[in-house]
Amino acid sequence: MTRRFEFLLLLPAGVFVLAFLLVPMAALVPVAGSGRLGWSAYLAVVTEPRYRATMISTLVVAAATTALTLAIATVAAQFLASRRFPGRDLLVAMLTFPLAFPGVVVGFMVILLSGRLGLVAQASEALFGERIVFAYSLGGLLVGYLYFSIPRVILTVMAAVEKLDPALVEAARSLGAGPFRIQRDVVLPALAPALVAAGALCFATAMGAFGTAFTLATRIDVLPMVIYTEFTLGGNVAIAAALSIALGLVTWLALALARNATGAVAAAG
Amino acid sequence: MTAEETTAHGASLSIRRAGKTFPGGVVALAPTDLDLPAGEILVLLGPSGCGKTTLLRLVAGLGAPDPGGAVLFDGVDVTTVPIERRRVGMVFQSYALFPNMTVAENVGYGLKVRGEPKSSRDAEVGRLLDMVGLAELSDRPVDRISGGQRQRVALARAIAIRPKILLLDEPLSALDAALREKLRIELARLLRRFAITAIHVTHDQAEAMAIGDRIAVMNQGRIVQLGTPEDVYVRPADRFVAGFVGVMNRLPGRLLPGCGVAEAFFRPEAVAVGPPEAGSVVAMVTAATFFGAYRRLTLDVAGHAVEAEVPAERPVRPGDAVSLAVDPARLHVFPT
Repeated sequence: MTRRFEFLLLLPAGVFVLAFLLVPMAALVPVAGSGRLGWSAYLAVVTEPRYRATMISTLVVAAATTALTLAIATVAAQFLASRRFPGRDLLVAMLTFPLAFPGVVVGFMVILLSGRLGLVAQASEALFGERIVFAYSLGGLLVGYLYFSIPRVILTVMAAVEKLDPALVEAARSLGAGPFRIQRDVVLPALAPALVAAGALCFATAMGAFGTAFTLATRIDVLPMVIYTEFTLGGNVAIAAALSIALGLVTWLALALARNATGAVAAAG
Repeated sequence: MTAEETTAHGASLSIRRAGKTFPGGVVALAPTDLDLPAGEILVLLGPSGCGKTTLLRLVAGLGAPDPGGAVLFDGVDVTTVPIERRRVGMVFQSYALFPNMTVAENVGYGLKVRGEPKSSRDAEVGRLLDMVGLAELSDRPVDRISGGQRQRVALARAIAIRPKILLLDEPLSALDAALREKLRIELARLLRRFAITAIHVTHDQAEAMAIGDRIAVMNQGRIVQLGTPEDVYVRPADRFVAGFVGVMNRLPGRLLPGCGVAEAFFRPEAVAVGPPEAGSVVAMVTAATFFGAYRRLTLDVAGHAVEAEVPAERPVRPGDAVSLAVDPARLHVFPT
């Protein structure tokens, strides 16, 4: 009876995994081999310089987004979790605001900030007589990704900070440790699981984000953009499928490596 | 034990008019004076919210007293010295061991922070782990040792920096009752062996009796009685102490001269129980529990329950009528 009940509990997850994950992915695999290049479409991701460069720049943007997001969010989350000041609740509520924005809106906001007529351009022209414009480059993309990843990472890390036993920090202080030492020896190791989880989500989202890049960019080559152009404009379904699978695998591999590395660090203490 | 281990270390502590008012005007601790000679173990005993932890945190430097208050170690004012430089050892209720470090790394952390070279650090950690009986667990992660072992690691970690004062904030209350009783004796033994000035906070009066050289009973932000465990048990200063420390009977009555209302307090062992006689107070036994060395009786005295102790060999049963007398020397009367 209990076994049958457990099987029933597994059913929804099983159906979901089969219908939305395994079947489409399995279908994608032969599609990639059906094109002009045959199965070597998979190799093209590595051998074709344009695809390879795209893959590398996508990885760099995603990694930079993750690193900057974690650095900013860890500091901000600790401040927000431990301090009470007027307007704090409003600020925390506002953090959830950008969560609902689609990438297109984020891209639009980046253009308003750092486009040809954006705030940065106007300010820099007034100050230095030169318009600084970075919205349509990888820099603009990075700003856009930071904009939507920082709030969600702050919220995750804040929850972890609030669960941290305040006595841990007090014990370290009583033993003579200063604030930076406590961060390194006590707080960051305790937050590591939350940072890895939040960082993984941030990285994966940045690898696959499309709307922001699409809005900003004629000249931005990130993998989701290339997949889109190959698929809709070039009609190159096979390459699009191979690139999709490569994107998934590389993201998965990067996350597995990060998880292993942080696990080893935590164990070594 | 080497000579060094038995030498009393630690500072004397003086607290001068130290109070604590929290934002919003809640007075957690009324201005308090307290003196603790070097090497003495003081227990702060009281119910939750009585101000005992607030007082401990003022001594630790985790909170500043209200203006006018001062904390002195060996006569030196340390009120403005932050906890990082105050050299206090702290043991927390949650132990607060660093989960990413081994037993030995936890114990050695304070020495590492102070830049002590690894060789002397390792020797000191080894010596401390020996003292608390955990030498063979030194390389274990702290999440793979028992609650009692964690408590000893926390104690060794706090002692390692040779603190001026050791502060223990309910270090036994996370343990189950049987283990708590065993470790209470163990902790008292270790603290005497470290021979260090210590303040131990607890709400458990049996723990206070076992550990303290002196006990400060606290209620509503004040020290209501300060004395040896015997003082506090035998000569309670007021109704609160009488009711809080140990098992105490209370009977309402009137003070004869002014006809004021009062309550009489007396311990179960102050009650003499005999065969019912004319002219004596007669009571009905409602329960009798055998405790091995003695028998604990619950008596009904004119509608009030009174606990009494009789020798175990006296065959008293529920339903028996007995006479009862209270030793007047051990009767405490407080006006209500």
